[in-house]
Amino acid sequence: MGGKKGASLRGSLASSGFKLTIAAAAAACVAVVLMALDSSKNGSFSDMSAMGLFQRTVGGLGMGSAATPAWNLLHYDPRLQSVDDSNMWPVAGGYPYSPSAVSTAAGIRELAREDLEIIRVGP
Amino acid sequence: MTMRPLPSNLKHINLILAAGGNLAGRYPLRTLVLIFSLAAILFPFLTALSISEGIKLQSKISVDEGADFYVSGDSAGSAAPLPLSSVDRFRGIDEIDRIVPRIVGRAYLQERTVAIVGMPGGAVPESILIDGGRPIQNKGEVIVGSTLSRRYGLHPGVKFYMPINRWKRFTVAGVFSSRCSIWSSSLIYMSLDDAGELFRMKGMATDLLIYAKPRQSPVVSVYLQNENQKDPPFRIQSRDLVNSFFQKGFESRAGVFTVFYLAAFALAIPLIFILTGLGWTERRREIGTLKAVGWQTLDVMQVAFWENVYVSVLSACLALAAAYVWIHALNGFMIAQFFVAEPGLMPDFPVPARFVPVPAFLAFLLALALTMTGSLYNTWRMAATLPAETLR
Repeated sequence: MGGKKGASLRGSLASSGFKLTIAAAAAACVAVVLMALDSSKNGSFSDMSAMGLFQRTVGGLGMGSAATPAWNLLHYDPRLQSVDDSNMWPVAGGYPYSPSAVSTAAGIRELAREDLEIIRVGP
Repeated sequence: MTMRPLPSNLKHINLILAAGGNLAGRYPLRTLVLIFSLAAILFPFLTALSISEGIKLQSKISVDEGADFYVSGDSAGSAAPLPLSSVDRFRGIDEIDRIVPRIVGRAYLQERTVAIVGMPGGAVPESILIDGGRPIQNKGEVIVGSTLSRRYGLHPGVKFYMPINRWKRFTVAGVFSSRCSIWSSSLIYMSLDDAGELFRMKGMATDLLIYAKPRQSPVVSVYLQNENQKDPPFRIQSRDLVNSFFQKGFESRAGVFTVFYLAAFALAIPLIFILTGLGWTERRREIGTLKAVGWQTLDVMQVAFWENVYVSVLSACLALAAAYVWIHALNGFMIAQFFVAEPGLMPDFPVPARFVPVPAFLAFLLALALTMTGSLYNTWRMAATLPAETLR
């Protein structure tokens, strides 16, 4: 009796384990399918073509993770204004409250240019 | 008759099934709580990285389709407008294909900051406008972004003005399709003359777009640098410089985000495990029993490892599916504003996102490393102890 019960418990655990293995494999397949769907969606000809045409029309506009040029233009497009003047605001602690400065998808800061380097001419 | 030992691969399969059985058959509730908790923690990680990848793709198009050089005035280290006559300084350079003056500025439309773009003639292909609109044909006509159209009712035919210049009236000729990019959503596009009148800077441009002939960019670059030795100085940006903004802006921020996320995650999960000690009393007894019936320490460890693999695969996949649905079906409702500045609670444009394999695999590794950290040491300590002590 006890042996039968033990065998039944073992069988039930093995069956649960098999089901979970199938579930994990199915979940992994779903993840791969979602990524493939996303890839075809992002690479769809109409969307890429619309984006390309728009950018050609405006001469290349927008690079940062900001939908509008709020506070300053740097986070919207550093080509327009490379200086982050929102950092110069007299805020205690130096924290930039610019909504685009704190977005996590991309962070654009002013780049030092070669012609701004200090060149030592004296001894 | 002697008993033959199980073939090695069969033993491993049995241990994998035992691990699955433990999770699904013995502790289903605990397993579900663990999977959902891990998925909840991985969800913002995958969402942030996918949005970052989406914006990166759109930025790349912006850089590739943009000009080879951007020339603007230089006012004490900041960009400044320059007169249209500045074009004459580059006229003699044969390697230049064309020079296009442009005005880009910002203005308010009610409480919202909008980008204003003025290009010569205001030419725009009809295919990127939504139905019902048409390209600019007359003075004072503009094309508006999808967000502005929806939010302020700026449909074709509607007349409006902006506080920056109340005397300048505009008529909406068309609306940009929301597929154009996130930067078109709050944009007002017009002719260069109209933009000059709006900002009261007629005869000026904020920048000159210089397009070099094929493979002539390096030569043009030398000419531009020579011209920049003369007064007044220019601020010149090449495609290389723009690309470096692109690389640093996305890769460093995504990297920093990942590092901070990993640190927070690494600190939080073992802490939760240690503080809760969820299920360890029962687990201790179970391990003692297994050791008593002849299991090796390595077998117990292997079962614990496979349990963590099951949980990590399921939680990473669940987090990916949740992030996919939230971004594509709900268009990043409430969450997009944490990653893209100023989209509003419900963005009027498709939130850019790309679900690529690397972040998904990273999420799986993250879950695996942390569940291992939380469980493997405790399991080993119990498995290495004598069963008589463990069962006491």
